[in-house]
Amino acid sequence: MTTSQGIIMILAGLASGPLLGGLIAGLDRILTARFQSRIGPPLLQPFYDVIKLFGKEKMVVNVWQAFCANAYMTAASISVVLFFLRSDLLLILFIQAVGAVFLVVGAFSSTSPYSQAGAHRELLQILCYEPLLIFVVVGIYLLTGSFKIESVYAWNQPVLLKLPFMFVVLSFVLTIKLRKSPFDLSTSHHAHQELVKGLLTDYSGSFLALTEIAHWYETVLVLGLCSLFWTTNPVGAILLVGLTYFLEIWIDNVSARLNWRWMLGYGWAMGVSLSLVNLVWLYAR
Amino acid sequence: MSKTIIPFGPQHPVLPEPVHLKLTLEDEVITEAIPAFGFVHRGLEKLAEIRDFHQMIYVVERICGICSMIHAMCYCQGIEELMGIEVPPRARFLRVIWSELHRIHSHLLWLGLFADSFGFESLFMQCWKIREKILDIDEATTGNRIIISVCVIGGMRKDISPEHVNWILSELKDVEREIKRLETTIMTDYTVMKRTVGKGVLTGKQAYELGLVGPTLRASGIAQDMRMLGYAAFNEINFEPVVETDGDCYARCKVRFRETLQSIDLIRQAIAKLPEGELAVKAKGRPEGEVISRVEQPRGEVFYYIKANGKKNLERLRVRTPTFANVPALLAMLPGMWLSDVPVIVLSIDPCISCTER
Repeated sequence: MTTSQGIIMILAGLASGPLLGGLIAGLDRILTARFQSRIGPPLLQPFYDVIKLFGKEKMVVNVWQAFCANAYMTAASISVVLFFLRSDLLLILFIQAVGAVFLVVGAFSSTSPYSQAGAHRELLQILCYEPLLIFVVVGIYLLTGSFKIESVYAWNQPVLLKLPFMFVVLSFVLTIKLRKSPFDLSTSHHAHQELVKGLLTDYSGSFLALTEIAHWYETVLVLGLCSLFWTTNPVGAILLVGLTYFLEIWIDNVSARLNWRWMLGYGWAMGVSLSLVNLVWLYAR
Repeated sequence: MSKTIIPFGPQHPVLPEPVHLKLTLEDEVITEAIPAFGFVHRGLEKLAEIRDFHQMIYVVERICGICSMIHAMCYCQGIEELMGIEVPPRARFLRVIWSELHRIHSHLLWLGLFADSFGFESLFMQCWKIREKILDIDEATTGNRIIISVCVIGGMRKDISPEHVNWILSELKDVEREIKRLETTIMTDYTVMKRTVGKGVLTGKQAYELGLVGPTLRASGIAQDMRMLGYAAFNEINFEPVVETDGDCYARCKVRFRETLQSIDLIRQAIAKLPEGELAVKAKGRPEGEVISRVEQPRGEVFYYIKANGKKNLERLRVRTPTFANVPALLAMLPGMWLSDVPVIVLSIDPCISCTER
């Protein structure tokens, strides 16, 4: 990758969260509404929401929370930029995890019991999906011989054919990261749950807008990871990502919210089992 | 283990009305739950001192938006007993029809809210979508969608025309089909069962000793329903209370779901037997004496105590609503449950706070 290509990729990565992530969120809201026999908001509604939040008076419970919102946003954007630069998958996951932990720390810095309980649940969610993401990356490494995204693109056939179970595991992680039912545990998009807005209860105004944009970056990142399973053809990658996201919305609309005990038990049992089966199968071949 | 106190309400997205629960948690397990009321008290009973006994019909209809007609029916029934009025047969059957329409839309509203309590938004939307058809029937037959104001002392003030009868039957057929389409999801979906089965269990003995009423009681195996008293025209149609035995949130959901279909059947029976005749008899004189009137609301037994002294204003009007009777169940059900179960358990008694506080 030349310097000019690198700069273009950095800019594309930085723009993808606020633009692509926002559009995906808008599409998500329309599709969800249609599943529920509603018309839904305009496609650009997530942008209107975020712009409105930026216009609000800046109020924070403490300075630490403002720092955490910025750190979460920075880490999420860096991880996407690194993805666009086809960097190291382990490094990307590490930076993404650092951002996620900052979000939790920000929630912990508030004394609100809703924030605190939401932060606890978010930590449990991180505990659930991070090992599974590592399994996925290890699977890619065993297949391509490198943790670099570049090597996935250099692979001569779709990764999905060799790592089908890993893709299922990644989809499971996607459900958690997108805060979809049955895993909208630490916070949910509509705040209609026992913790109200949970983890994000005490974030407001521009800091809440930052967490929303960071969430868009994370959506782009996880969907980007899904696209790695079909790198031989851009149309195939887009179809795979589109189908996966549609399935996520469908699952969100056909299931109730479960609890973190179920998520940990089922997530680890299913995720680790599928990962190991795929790894053994890969090794045996 | 340190304790956390969560102020659940009075303004909380999962609560349809303002009620406060002071929840004490250890980790995410509830050790104590103390409810507090008093956020929407309107002093409606006191209005009996300045509104005459006819005007009080409009007041009691506004105790609760969801079962307004049943409040009015219970009140009129009490006054009619005091004044020795015999309600014409057609009016008694019309009371059955509109009260069961209220039960259907109340239960559908509840099913939606219950689904929302465990995060199943699409089910919530579907239940409320079906409910619209019932509100359309109310609007077409009475002019209003919720507070339909059809009961008067001595009978009814609105009738249902033969054209409306056919249309209602056709609409009910659609409603029945659409409700049955939801049955698989509500009754057998893995995630729904995971959130409701075994949650907030009350044995029959517990439910009886706590003085519970309505579906909350019947879900614990006790066949008690005020419609068995045969008020209005319930003594002239086939009626058996819906009973489940597990006593958990799932059983309470099942009772209400089955009651929704049962109400459709009761309306069909009432329409089939709807006699011709006058709608109301004139209420002459003023009530004197005291009486207790009881009917079955969607949430359970509502109890009216009326004391009159021959004047235009009642001496005392006292209303005990089903939610007041069912709140003690929360104190028995919540301890030991997880925080995530709180909305499900609270909603499972179908709390109506505006009724309770009046």
